[in-house]
Amino acid sequence: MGTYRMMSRTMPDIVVCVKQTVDVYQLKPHPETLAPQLSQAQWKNSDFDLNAVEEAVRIKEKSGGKVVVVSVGPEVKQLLVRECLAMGADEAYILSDPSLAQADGAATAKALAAVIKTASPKWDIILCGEASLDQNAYQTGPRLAEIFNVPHVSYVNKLEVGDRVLKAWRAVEDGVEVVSCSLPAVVTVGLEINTPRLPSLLMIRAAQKKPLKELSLNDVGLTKDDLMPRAETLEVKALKTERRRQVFEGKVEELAEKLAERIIAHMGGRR
Amino acid sequence: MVFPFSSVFDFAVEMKEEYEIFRKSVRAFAEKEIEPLVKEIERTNTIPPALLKKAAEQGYLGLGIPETYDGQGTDMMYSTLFVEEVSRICPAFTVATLVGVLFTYPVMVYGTEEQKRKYLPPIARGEKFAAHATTEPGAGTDVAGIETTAKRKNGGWEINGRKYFISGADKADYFIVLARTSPPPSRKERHKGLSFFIVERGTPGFRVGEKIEVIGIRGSHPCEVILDNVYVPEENMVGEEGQGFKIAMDTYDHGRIGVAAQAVGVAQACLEKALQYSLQRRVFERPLIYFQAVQFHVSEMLTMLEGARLMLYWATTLANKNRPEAVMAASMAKLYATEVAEKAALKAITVHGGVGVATDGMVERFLRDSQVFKIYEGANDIQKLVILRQMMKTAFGMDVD
Repeated sequence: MGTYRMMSRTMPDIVVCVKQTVDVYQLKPHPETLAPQLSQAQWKNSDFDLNAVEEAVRIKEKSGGKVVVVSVGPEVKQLLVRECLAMGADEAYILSDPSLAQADGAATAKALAAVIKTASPKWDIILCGEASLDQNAYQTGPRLAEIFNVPHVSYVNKLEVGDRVLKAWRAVEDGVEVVSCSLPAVVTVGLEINTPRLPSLLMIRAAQKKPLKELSLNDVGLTKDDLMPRAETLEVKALKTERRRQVFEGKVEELAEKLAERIIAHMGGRR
Repeated sequence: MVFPFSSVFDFAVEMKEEYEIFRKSVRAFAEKEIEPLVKEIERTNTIPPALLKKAAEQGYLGLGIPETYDGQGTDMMYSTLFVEEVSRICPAFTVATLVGVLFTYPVMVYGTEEQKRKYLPPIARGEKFAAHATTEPGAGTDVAGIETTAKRKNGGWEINGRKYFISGADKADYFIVLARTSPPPSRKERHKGLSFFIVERGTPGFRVGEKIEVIGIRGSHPCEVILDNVYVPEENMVGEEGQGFKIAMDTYDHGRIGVAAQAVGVAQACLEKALQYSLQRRVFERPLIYFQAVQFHVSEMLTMLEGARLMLYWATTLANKNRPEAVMAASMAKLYATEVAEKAALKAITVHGGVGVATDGMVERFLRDSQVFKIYEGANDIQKLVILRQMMKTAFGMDVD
C-alpha cells in the first residue's frame, strides 16, 4: 500500500479514553500496614493515556478529524480533563459515579462504552493507553473492542492511519510485528510511541472554550448494578524490599567481574 | 479596620482553573528542559539560546503582550506564575523574559502605533530580544542622576553615554535607553528633561561592552552598554520629550511583581530542598526532621513562604484589576518576598550543613540569588519609601517626597 493512499481522504473521529489515577510516583506506603496512603495522594492523568491523547492529536494534525476525550471514574477531575483539551483534543465527556471506585476492567470498559455510544457514536478509532498507571491490568482496550465487536491492536509503538484502514507497529517479545486492519478499531499504545507535548499557553487558553460535558449513569443508560465488579480487591500492600548490603573490595577490573558473577548467580545462572 | 485599604474585598486573591493548568505545564517545562542545564548556566553565566527558543514555542515570551501584536494577551497572574515556577528551578531564566517586559511595557503604554507594530511582534514570538538601559556607573536608584545625553541633530537625536548592569544586553536586539534631553530647570526638578529612545543593536556608535561577572542570578549576564555619538531618528523617542522619568517609574512599578515572584519561587525551592534533605539525611540514627531545631527551621520557612506567596498573589490580583493600590502592594510584596528568599536560603543552608555551603550542592546559589533580588528593580530601602509615599498619597492625598 503506497504512502499516498495511506494519507488520503479519511478524516478520522478518534475517541481517547483517559483514566485519572493517583500519582504512583508520589505514593507512600503506610510504614506499618504497608497500605498505600491514598488520601494524601495527588491525582494525574495516567501516563500511557497521555501517549494516546498525543497520538490522537498527531493523527488529527496530519489527517484532520476530531479528537474526543472520555474519562470515567469515581470522581473525575475537570481540571485534568481540561489538560487533555489543552494538548489539542476537541471535546470531552466525563462520567463520575462513586460505584466506579471498585470498578474492574469489565466495569470500566462497560462504562466507557456507554459514554462513547451516547456522546460520540460515530467513531473510527478508539485509542487507549495499553495499561493504567495504578492497576496495570491491560484490560480496558481489549474489552472495549469486544463490546463494539471491532478489531483490536495492542502494544502499538508506531501508528499510521489511512483511508478506512490503519497500520500498526506492535512491540512484541522478540521484535516488532507490523499489522494492519480496517476501521473502526481499538488501539492501545505504550510509552514508546511518542512524547506527550506540554500544552502551550495558546492551547491552554483555547481549551477553556472547548466543550466539556458531565454525564450521569442515567444519561448513558447504566445502573449501579451494571458496574458491579466481578472480582473483589481484598487488600493492597507495598512490597517490602531489603537491600543485600554486600560490599566488594579490590581493583575495579576484578570488582566488575565479581559483581557480574554475583548477578548471574542471582538470576539462576542464566546469561 | 482595613486602613489604608477600603474593605476586606481589597484582600481577595483571584484564581482560575486555566492558571493552574498553565502553572503545571510551566513546572513540567522547568523540570524537564531547564533543570538539567542549571549547572552549566551557573558556570558559564549564560542561558543557552536553544532553551529560549523552546520557551518561545510554548508562548512564554509573549506574556503580557496583547494578541494584536502576536503576544498571548494574558493577564498579570500568568506572568507571576510563570516567573515563580521557573525561578523555583532557575531564576536567571526568568530575567530573559522580565527584562523584555521592561522594554515592551513602556512601548505598549507610551509608544506610537508604528513602534508597537515594529517592535512588539518579533519580541512576542521570541525572534528578537530586548533590554532596558537606564542604570549607569554613577546612577542606579537615583534615576534622575543619569549623565547620558541626547542632543537634537539633523531632525533626530545624538546620544552619548555609558550604561551599566544592563541585564540581557548581550543578546538583546532592541534597547530602550534613558537620556537627558534638557538640563534640569532646578535642583528640585532634577527628574525633568529626561526622555526614552529605542536604539537598535548595530546602530553606528552603539556597542555592548564588558560582561559583568556577578555572584547571583548567574545567567542573567548584565553588561556595559556604550553609546558614542549614536544617531536615532525622531520617531525612536518613546513617549513625549521630558516624560522619561515618569515612564521609568511607571515601568518599575509594574516590573516589581516579577521580582517578588522570583523570590517566592526561590523560597519554595529552599523549602523543598531543606525538607527533602532533612527526611533523607540521618544523624544519631534518625532522619534530621526528628530534631526540633530542624523542625523549627522548616516550619518557619513554610510560614514565611506562604505569607510571601499570598502577598504576591494579592498584589497580582490588584494589578489585574488596575487598582491604584497595586503599586504599594507590589512594593510590599517585593520587599517582603525578597527578604523571605534570603532567610529561606540561609535556613536551607543551615539544614544542609556542609552540603549547604558546597557549590556542588546547588543550595548556596539561592542565597547568592536573593542578594540580587534585594537590590535590583528598586533596592529594598527604596521600596520602603515607595510604600510609605504611595500610602500617604492614596489615603490622604499627601505628598511627602
